[in-house]
Amino acid sequence: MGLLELKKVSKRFGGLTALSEFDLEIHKGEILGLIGPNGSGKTTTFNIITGFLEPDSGNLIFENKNITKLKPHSIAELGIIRTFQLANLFFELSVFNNIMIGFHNSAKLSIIGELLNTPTCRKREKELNRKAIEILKLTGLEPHKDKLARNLSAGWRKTLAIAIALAAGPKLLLLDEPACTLSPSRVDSVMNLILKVRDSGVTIMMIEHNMRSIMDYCDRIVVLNFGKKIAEGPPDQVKQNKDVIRTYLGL
Amino acid sequence: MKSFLRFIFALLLMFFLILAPWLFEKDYYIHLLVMACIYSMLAQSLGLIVGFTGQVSLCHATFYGIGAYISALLSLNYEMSFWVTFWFGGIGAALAAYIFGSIVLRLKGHFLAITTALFGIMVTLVLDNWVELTKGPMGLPGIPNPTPINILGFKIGFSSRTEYYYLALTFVFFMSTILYRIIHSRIGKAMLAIRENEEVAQSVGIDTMRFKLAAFTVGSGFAGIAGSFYAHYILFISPVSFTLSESINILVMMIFGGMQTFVGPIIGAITLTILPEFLRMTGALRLTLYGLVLILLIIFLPSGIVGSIKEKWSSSNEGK
Amino acid sequence: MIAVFFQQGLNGLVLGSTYVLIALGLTMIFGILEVINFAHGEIYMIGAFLTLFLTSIFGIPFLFAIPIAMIGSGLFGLLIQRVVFRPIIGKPMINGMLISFGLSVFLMNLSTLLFKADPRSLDSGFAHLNIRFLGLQITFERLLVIIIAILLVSILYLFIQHTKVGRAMRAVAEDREAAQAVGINIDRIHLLTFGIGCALASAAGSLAGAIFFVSPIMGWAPVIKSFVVVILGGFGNVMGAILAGLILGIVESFGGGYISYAYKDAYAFVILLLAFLLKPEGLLGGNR
Repeated sequence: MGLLELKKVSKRFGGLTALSEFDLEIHKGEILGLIGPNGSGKTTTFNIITGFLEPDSGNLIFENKNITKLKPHSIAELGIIRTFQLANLFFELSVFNNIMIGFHNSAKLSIIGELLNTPTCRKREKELNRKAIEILKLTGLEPHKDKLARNLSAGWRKTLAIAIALAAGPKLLLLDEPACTLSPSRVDSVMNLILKVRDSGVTIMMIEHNMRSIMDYCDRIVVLNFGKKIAEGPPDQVKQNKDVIRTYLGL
Repeated sequence: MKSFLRFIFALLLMFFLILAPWLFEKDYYIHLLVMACIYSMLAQSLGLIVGFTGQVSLCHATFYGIGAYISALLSLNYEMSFWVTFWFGGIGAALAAYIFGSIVLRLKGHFLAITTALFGIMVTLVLDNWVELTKGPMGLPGIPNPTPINILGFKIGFSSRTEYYYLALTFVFFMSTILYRIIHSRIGKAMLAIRENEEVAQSVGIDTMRFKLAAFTVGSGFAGIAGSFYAHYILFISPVSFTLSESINILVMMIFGGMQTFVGPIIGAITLTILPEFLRMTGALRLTLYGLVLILLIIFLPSGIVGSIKEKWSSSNEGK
Repeated sequence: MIAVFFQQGLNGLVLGSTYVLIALGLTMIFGILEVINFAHGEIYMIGAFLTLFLTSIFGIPFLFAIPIAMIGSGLFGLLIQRVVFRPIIGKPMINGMLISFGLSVFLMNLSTLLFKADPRSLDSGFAHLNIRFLGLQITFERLLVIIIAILLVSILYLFIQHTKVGRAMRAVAEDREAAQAVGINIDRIHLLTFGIGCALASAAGSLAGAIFFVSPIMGWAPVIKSFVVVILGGFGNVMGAILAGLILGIVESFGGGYISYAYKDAYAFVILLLAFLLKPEGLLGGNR
C-alpha cells in the first residue's frame, strides 16, 4: 500500500494530451525521481497531485483518502507540500517571515485569540519562532534570515523554497527541479539537505533534469514521455531500459 | 533605538491629536480635522484590502456609501440613534462586501479592479434612481446628530465640531487598533502571503479565498462605519459623495502615504485632506492640478511617503 | 411593433460600433503594454473636440475632419505614451491604473477650463439626411458610424495580419521576451500601439459627438463600458472585443427601450456579473 496512489490519471489541454492513464504509487520513506523530456507531463503531474489542476479522469488516493477533488490548501493541510520550478517565494518579506508563513498549517487559528493576542497565541508563536530557527539551521539559511527573499541568490532561493515547504509540515514533499540552474557544489548541498529531510521521515518525489543527482540520490525513478509512463524502477534498471535510452537520452 | 524613536513619535502624535482643536481655533479647521479622521478610517481600512492582501478594490467609497445610506435611512425612517445605526451601517456594508466578494474575489489583478469599479458605478446608479427610497440625486437631508451621551459625568451633546472631532478620533483609534492586531497576527501573515504569491500561499495550506474575503469584508465594513459617521456628521448625504472618483481618491491617499505600511494611509489621508484646502482653488482648476499631482506622484514617489522613508532606512541599514 | 424592435436593434449596432472602436484601442494597449488606460475616454473626447473645431472654425467637411482628428489624436497618444506611460512599464498594475486615472482627470478638467463644460453640438452636415429601407429609418449620420467602424476595423485587421509591423505587434502581445529576443524593438511597438489605439478612439469620439453632443465629460461613460467589452472579449483579444462591443450596444439599446432607460448604464455590469457567475473560470479569452 503506497502513501500516495495515482490511478489512471488523465489530463488534456485542448487537443494536447498532457497525461494519459498515468498509474503511480509512491512508497513511504522513498525518494522518487520523476523524469522525462520537456512537455512530458511532469509538472502537470505535480499540479494534479497538489490540486492546482483537476484531472479529467482517474483518482488520487492519499493515506486511503480520495483527494482527487480537493482544493490546493486542503491537500496541503493533509501534508502534501510542493515547491515550484521558478522558486516562487514571498519576495518582499524576510527569509525568517517566509518560513513563519510556512507554519500556517500547524497553527490553529481562532479569530478572537489572534485579535487579543492571548497567551496561548503568544506561546504558539514563540514555539514556531524556535522551530523556524531550527529550519534555518538545518538549511543553512541562518546567516540570511533578515534578508528580503528577493535579495537572495538563485541557489539560496531554491533552498528557501524547500525551507518554506518544511515549515508546512510535509508527509510527502514534491520538489520541482530543486537543483536546476545551481552550481555543482550547490547541487550537492541541496541534495544532501533533501537526504536529511528524507531521513527525518518525509517521503520525497522530485522532478529533476540533472541526471547525476537523479541517479545518485533517488531510490526509484519513473520516466514519462508524452504523458505516458515508459519505465519505472531503481536507477540502475532504468538506465538500462531501451525505451528510456531511445526516447529520453536521445541515443 | 528604532522602537524608542517610534514610541516618542507616537507620544508626540497623540499629544498633537488631542490638543489639535485648541491649536486651530477656527471652526473650519476643526471640520477639516474631522474629515481627515473619516478619510483615515477609509484609507487605512482600504490598506488592509489593497496594501496588505494585494486585492485592488475600486469600490471602497461604495461601501462607505452603503454604510452612510443604511445609517441615514434607519435614523430618518425608524428614529434610531447613531449609536445603533452605525453598527447596522458597518455590518450592512460588510455583508454586501461578503456577498459581492464571494463572487468576484477569485478574479485577479485588472479583472478584479475593473469589476469592483463597475460595481461602484452600478450602486451609484441605484442610489440615483431608486427615488422612493433614496430620494435620488436630491439626497437625504435632516439626518439627526448622535444623541447626547454621558461620560464620567460630562455630557457630550455633539453640538460643536470639537465634540465630533474627539468622537472621530476615538473611532480612528479603535479601528487602527483592530487593524494593527489583524496585520500583526497570523491572519495578517496569511494575508501578506496572498499579496506576495497566491500560489505559494495555497501550497502551504492557506485557504486564500477565505482570507481575501475576510480582508475585503472587514475593510469594507470599516468603510461602512466611516460612512455612518459621515452621515451623522454632515447631516446630509447624496450619491455624489460615494462615486468611483471618491473610491480612487481614497486609493490615492493610501498610496500617497504608503500602502504597505500601517501608518502610511493615515498620513496620506491627513495630508491630502488638509493640504488642498490651503490652495483655495475651485472646481476644474483644482481637479486639473489633482490629476497632474497624481501623475507626478506615481512617477516619482511610487512607494508613498512612509514607504520611501522605510526603504531609505532599510537600505542604509543593509549598507552597514 | 416589429419595426420598433428592429429600430432598437439598429440603434444598438450604432452604439455598439462606437464601443468596438474604443475597446479595440483599449484591448490592444492592454495586450501590449499591460496597462488599463482610464484616459482612453479623454482621447475620445479630444477627437470629438478636434473634429468640432475643424468643421466649425476651419470649415473642413466632416468626412475629412475625422481622419485629420485621428492623426492629431494619434500623435497626442505618442506623446502621452512617452511622457506618462513609459516611466511605469514593469511596475505594479496599480501604478498604471492610477497614473492613467490621473491623466484622465487632468485632461477632462483642463478641457473644462479651456472649452467650458456646456455640451455643444457637432454638425456633421448629414443630420437631416434620412435613409429608409425595409421600413426602417436611419439618419446617414448614424449609418456612417457603422460604415466607418467596419472600414477601420478592416484596415486594422489587414494591418495586424499582413504587415511586418502588425506581426511584430502580435508577437509582443504573445510573448514579450521572445519578441525581444528575435530583435523586435519593443519600445517602438509600444508607441505605435498607443498611437493606433488613440486614433481609433478619436474616430469613435468624432462619430459619437455628431450623434449626441461634445463635452469635456463625454468620454467617461463610454470608456467604462468599453472596459466591460474588453473583459467580456478577453483582455488583448481583438475579435472578442468586436463581438462583445456589438453585443453590449444591442443589449443596452433593447434594455433602454424595453426594460428601463434610467438603468441603461447598469446593463454592462449585469452582463459582466452574469458572465462571471455562469462561466467563472474565465470568459471568451480565458482568465488572464
